[in-house]
Amino acid sequence: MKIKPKVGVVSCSGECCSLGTLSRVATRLVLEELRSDQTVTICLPLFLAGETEENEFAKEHPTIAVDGCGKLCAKKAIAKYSKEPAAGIDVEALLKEWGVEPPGSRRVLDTDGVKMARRLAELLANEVDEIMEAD
Amino acid sequence: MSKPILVIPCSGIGKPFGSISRDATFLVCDELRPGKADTLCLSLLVMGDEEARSKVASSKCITVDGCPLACARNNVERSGGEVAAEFRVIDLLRENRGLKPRTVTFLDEDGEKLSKLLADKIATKVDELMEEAR
Amino acid sequence: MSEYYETTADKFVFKVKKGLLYSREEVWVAKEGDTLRVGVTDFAQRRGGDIVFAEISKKGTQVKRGEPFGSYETIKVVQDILSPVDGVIMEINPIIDSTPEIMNKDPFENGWLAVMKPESNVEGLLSAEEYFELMKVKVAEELKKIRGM
Repeated sequence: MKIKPKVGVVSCSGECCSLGTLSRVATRLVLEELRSDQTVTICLPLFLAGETEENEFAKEHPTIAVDGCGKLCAKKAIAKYSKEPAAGIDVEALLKEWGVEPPGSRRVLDTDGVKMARRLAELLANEVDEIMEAD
Repeated sequence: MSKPILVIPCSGIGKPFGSISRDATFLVCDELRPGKADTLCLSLLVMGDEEARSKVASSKCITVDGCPLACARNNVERSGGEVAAEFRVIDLLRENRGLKPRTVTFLDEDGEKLSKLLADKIATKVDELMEEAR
Repeated sequence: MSEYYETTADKFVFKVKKGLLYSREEVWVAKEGDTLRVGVTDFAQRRGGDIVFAEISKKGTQVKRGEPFGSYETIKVVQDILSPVDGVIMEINPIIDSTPEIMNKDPFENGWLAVMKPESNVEGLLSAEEYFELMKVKVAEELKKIRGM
């Protein structure tokens, strides 16, 4: 029986704007609700501090980078301090593609913001499935 | 007018403390001290973004960490920033023993209470640092 | 060679320090001449989460095997710490009260809790190898609860 490794999902910290909050909430929804048995979150600030379990995990397991904007901090950090992520999403670019405006508040997502986060989480869940299928 | 004080949370995603650090920071920057307190993305700073580095180099920084691992403080210091004050959510928990924040994704009632208490303390510190800068 | 046995589950690494004895109630024991130094295991501190408060019975307290000689509190639990032996507390770690997070950060070294003068023997305690096997079973059972930490 082949044991499938878990997928690490890394959200940007994104304090600058609501896109970061969206990334974060979407990542948590994948972990808590959609793919709780298949995923692990990587805490980005801890990862950046270096030489932690987060770093070791990311070196050995596939990861998905969830970035709020085109600066792609999560993707670049993962590539720099472990290895290239298996997949990545740029939330800002996705929202433009969907034709939706980012949520108004960076602190608390309103109802539409939570819906957006859930939609993103579903997309992430599919990425997790694809990675696990490919393995 | 003095430059805004930079309030930088750890935003750790694995524990309620990280969410509280983030929420309190937004409360300070957006509601309690708009224009006097600002924040920036910790990961942008660590990844060497020029604008973020320049901001940190020319501003007083307050770090807001969730837990004793102190990722915000450590990462700001490593990036050349000077930490004028630091807060840890876990210390506030010690002062408010009855509060038990449990959730990470969306703050529960105790998480919100703790966040507000922390935001008030940070706001007071912002005032002190702004006063010193005059 | 590592001084720890290690097992990994998800991104978490659980350590068991070699050469110590262990109780089933997650307390490690280091023999130091005719006294024992004790603390909580890596598995225990990780399972509970960030320790916010810790209290240890004062010097001179008589302790009984299997009964509490202290406790620690996280946002999830208040956990009794059970004595691995009958005995008397000779010394307690002076920094535990002010810095309980040391139990998370360094459970086997600076996070020690007490030094005891035993009045019973240490038979019934597990070797590091035996405890490691037990811990692996516990880790598998607990994994779902600590996922996402």
